Amino acid sequence: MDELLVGLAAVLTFLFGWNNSSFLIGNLRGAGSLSFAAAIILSVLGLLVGALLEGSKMAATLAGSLALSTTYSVLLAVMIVSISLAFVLTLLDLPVSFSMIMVGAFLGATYAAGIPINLGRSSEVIGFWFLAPLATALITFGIYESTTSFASRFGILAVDSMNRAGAVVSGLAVSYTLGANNLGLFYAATGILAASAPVDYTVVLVLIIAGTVGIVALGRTALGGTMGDKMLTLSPQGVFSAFVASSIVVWVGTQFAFPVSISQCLLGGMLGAAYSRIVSVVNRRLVGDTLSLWVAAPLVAFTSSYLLVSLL
Amino acid sequence: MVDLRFLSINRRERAIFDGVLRLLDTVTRTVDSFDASVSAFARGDAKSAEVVEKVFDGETEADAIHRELGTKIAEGAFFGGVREDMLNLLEKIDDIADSAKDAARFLSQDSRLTAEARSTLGSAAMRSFISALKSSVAALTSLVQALEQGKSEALAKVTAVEDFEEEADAHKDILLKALFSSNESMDPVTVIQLRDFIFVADNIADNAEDASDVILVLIAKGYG
Repeated sequence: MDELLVGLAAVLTFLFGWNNSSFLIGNLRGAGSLSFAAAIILSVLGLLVGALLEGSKMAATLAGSLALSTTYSVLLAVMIVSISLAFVLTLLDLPVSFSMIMVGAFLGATYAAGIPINLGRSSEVIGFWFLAPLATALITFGIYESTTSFASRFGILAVDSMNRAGAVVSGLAVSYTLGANNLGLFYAATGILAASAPVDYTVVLVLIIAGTVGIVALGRTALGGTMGDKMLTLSPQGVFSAFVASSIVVWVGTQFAFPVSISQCLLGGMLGAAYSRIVSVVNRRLVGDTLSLWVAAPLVAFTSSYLLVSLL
Repeated sequence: MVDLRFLSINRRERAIFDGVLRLLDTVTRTVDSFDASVSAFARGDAKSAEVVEKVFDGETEADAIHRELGTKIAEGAFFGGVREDMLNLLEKIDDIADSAKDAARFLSQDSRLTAEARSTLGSAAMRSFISALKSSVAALTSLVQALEQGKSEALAKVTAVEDFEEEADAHKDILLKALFSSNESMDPVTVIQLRDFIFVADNIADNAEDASDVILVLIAKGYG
C-alpha cells in the first residue's frame, strides 16, 4: 500500500461519511429511533462489519477488472479527481455517487495512461448502474405493498413500534452494504496491488475511522437527506422499503464486484414507493437535476482524470 | 387485531395514546357541561352561572392534559415523521374545549345576553344543533379508539365525524334563518350575540372534523 494513496483514500472516506450521513444516520435520527450517539455507533458498526466481511469482494473492482493493471499515477489521478468532485458536490448539498465518480476517473486516467480498458467489464458495470435503480424500484414496490398490507392489520401503537424498529434495521442494512461496496472500492484504490495482495486490515481500519470522523463532525445536521426531504414525501413504510431494497441491490452488486451508488438505488426505490400510491409528492425538478448529475459527474471525472494523467 | 402490548416497547407511546383518550374524555365532559349550561340558561335557572364555571374548569383541565402530552411527544415519543401530526391532533382536540368555553362565555354572568334569548336557546332547533355537536365529539372519540384496532376499523369511522359536522351545519343554518327572519322584535344586540354564539358553538364540530382530518393523514402515513 502507498501511504499517500491511503491518506487520500481516508480523505475520500471522510467526504463519504459526510455526504452519506443522511443515509447512515439521518434516517435513524429523523425517525427518532435512536440518539445521535447510538445512530453513529450503529452506522459505524454496519460499515465495519460490511467492510470486513465483504469489502474484499470489491478489491479487484478497478485494477484487475476494468483494466488488467494500473499505475501509481492513475490511482493518484483517481483520488485527486474523486476528492475534488466529491468535495464540491457535498458542499452543494447534492448526493454524490462516489462509485460513478471513481469509475469514471479510473477509466479516464487508464485511457490517458495507454493501459487497455476492459470494455466488456466496463459495459457490465455501466449497465448495472442503469439496472440498479430500476431493480430497486421493483423490489421497493414489492416490499412496500407487503409492509403496508401487513401494517394495516395493526393498531397505531404497534405500527409506530414497527416503524421505529424498521428504521434501525434499514439503517443497519444500508451501512453494512455501503461498508462492503463503497469502502471496498476505496480500498481498491489504495495501491497497485490492492486487488491481489492479502487484505490490509490496518488500511480498512483507517478508512472506517475517517468515515466515522466525517459522520460525527459534519453529519450532525443530517436529519433526512436530500432524497427523503426534498425530492418526495414518503410514509415511514415507504422509506423503510426503499432503504431495504437499495441495500439488497447494492449487496447483489457487491457479490459481482459492481461498484454501485446507494443514492442511485434509493432514488429508484423512493420513486418506486412514491408511484405505488395514487397520491405522491415528487419534486420532479430535483429528481431531474440529480439524474443529470449522475450522467455528468462520471463524464467530468473521466475528462478531468484523463487531462490530469496526460499533464503528469 | 393483533395485540403487541406484551412487548412493552411502546410504553411511552401507549401512555400518550391513553392520554389522548383522557383528553377526549375531558373534552366530552366540557361539551356536556356546555350543553347543560345552555339548558340552564334557557330555563332561567339561577344556577346556570355555576354550570358555566364547569365548562371553564373543563377547558382548563384539557389545557393541562394537552400541555403534558405535547411535552412528552416533543421529548421524542412516536416516529419522527408523525410527531407533528400527533401534536396537531392534540391541538385540534383541545380546540374543541376552547370552543365550548368561548361559546359558554356568552352565557356567563357578565354576558349581555338577556332573558329574551331564552326562547332561541331552548328551542328544538337549538337542542338538535347541540346534539349534533356532541355527536361529532363522540364520533371523534370512537375514531381515536379505532386507531388502536387497525386501518379498516379507523377508516370505517372517519366519515362519521364529518357527517355530524354537516348535520350541525344544517341545524346552524336553520337557527340563523329563524333568528334573522323572526317577526318578534328582539334587541339587535341580542340578535348579534345569539348569532355569534351559534357560530362559536359550531366550532366544536368544526374542530372535531379538523381532528378527524389529522387522523386521516396519520392513516395515509400507514398509521392505524
